[in-house]
Amino acid sequence: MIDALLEYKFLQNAVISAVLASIACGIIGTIVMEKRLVMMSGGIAHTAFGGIGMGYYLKIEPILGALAFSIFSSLTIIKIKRSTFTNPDILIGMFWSLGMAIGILFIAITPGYPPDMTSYLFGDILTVSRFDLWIISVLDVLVIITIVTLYNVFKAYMFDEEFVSVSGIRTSILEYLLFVLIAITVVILIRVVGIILVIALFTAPPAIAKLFTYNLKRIMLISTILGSAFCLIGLWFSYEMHISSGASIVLITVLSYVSISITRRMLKKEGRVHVTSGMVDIAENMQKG
Amino acid sequence: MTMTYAIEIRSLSVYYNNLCALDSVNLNVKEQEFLGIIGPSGGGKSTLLKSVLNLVKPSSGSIKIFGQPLRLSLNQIGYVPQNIRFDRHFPINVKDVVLMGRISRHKPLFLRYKQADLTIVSQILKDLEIGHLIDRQIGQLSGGQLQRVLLARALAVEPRILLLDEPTSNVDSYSKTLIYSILKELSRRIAVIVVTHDIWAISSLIDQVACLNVKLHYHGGTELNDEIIQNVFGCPVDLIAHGVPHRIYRAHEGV
Ligand SMILES: Nc1ncnc2c1ncn2[C@@H]1O[C@H](COP(=O)(O)OP(=O)(O)OP(=O)(O)O)[C@@H](O)[C@H]1O
Ligand SMILES: [Mg+2]
Repeated sequence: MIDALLEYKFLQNAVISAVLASIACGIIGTIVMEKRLVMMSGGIAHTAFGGIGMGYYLKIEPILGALAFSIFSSLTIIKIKRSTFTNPDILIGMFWSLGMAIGILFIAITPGYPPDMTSYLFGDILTVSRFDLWIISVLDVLVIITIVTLYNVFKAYMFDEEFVSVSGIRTSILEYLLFVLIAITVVILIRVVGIILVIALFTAPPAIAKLFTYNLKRIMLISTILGSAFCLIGLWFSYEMHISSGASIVLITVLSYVSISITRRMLKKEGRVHVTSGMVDIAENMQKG
Repeated sequence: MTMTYAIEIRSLSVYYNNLCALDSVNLNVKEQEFLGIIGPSGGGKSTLLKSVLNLVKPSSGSIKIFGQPLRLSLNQIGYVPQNIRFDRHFPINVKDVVLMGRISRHKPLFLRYKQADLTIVSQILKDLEIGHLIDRQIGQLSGGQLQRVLLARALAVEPRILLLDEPTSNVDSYSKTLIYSILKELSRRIAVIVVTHDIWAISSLIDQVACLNVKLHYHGGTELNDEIIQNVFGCPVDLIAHGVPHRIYRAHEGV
């Protein structure tokens, strides 16, 4: 594959987009995990499907339609949540299905042979175009700049929203901003793993990282590295075995999570044995004394 | 000459849907006052503090901080909440939690904490005798240690008004004494307001008491009488026989 990588432009695009996607995903995924917004992200991803359908219908780039739809829907969800105190779960559930429904509607009314949607649903990193790459880069830079600019405020907001608000910072702005960032990241990931599989890549790398450190920055960094590794291995799999990149990346990601946490558990159990034997020692000494 | 109060509350009413939590409360707090707020559970004590913090919207009435509207003066207030609303497994250590108190001193964009912030934070932690916990992850603290960390965060604001919602509900008597002696010291310079069920323990420290049960039934010196207690707590026999107010009342009866 290395030879092919040097030779074929499409493989280079795939590798670059995998790494770029992992950066945004590592940063935003960490926030999503800590803020418990996993289902929200899933919902936003699925509303993007409506945008893809709209893109086909209006003959614009589907990925731009996805961007518009996911940003719009994420903002709408917060707006409704804030003004009516509706349980966000209910809103997510409705938007999730609504987005899919709108997408299917658009495709049905688009004249001509219906386009193949599987690459958007399950990702197809091998077909990332120059234009896709360009969009992914711009969005990635946006995410990185925003987080670097507001890192400490976001960290405080993630930890204790009430206190940040008491400090005189408008937390509603932070919330809207965060949701736009999630929407953007979802769109970045759509080309790589597809709408349906976004959530795994959002959650698994930060969850693994958190097994090893309690430092937020490090969690983001480790997630990025892990995400890149999973995507590249998945890409290789996808190339060699001719299966969709989304499926292979997600399989690798979840398998890694499971094996790492089981290994860690076993190591920890051994650790506990040491502790108990230490306590036995103490108990023995006390009896002697 | 009119006096500017630290907090000036004018006929404040707060409703949650149809439930009236506060009913036309008027309350002035002076710049160097140590005020204790007592009242039955559900009496609106937390609601009153949250109104001053702009966390709940009043249905009517107004609140001024040093003569200014609320929004402009939030950065002058330090706050210790009653309930912990955050996830204790969040990846953050004590230092970063207490540094949050410094946020209002900086512009939010490109906010980086300075050496001066760190100096203030470590001094406060030392004063509260938890300096050794500075690098501890927040989930690895005991309940009492966490409560001191939250107090430290409120102090790191270097506030002119300090609001504490039952800050000693979780700590041993030594910590309680330590915390109240620090608060007493502070109240020589700033306004300190404590919601507490422990009022008897600190009745010698505080200057003023407010008794709150939807309405503000009393605000004045610490010599309460029977009638006020009955008004505030509604059910004289039960609560007064077992509750806190009994003791404050009795403590002052002998004087
Ligand atoms: N977010 C909320 N939504 C609806 N009702 C609320 C809310 N918060 C408080 N209340 C109601 O408002 C009233 C006052 O509550 P508050 O928390 O201010 O009481 P409190 O005096 O602090 O009580 P405690 O001593 O138990 O802390 C209660 O009847 C409570 O049920
Ligand atoms: Mg309360």
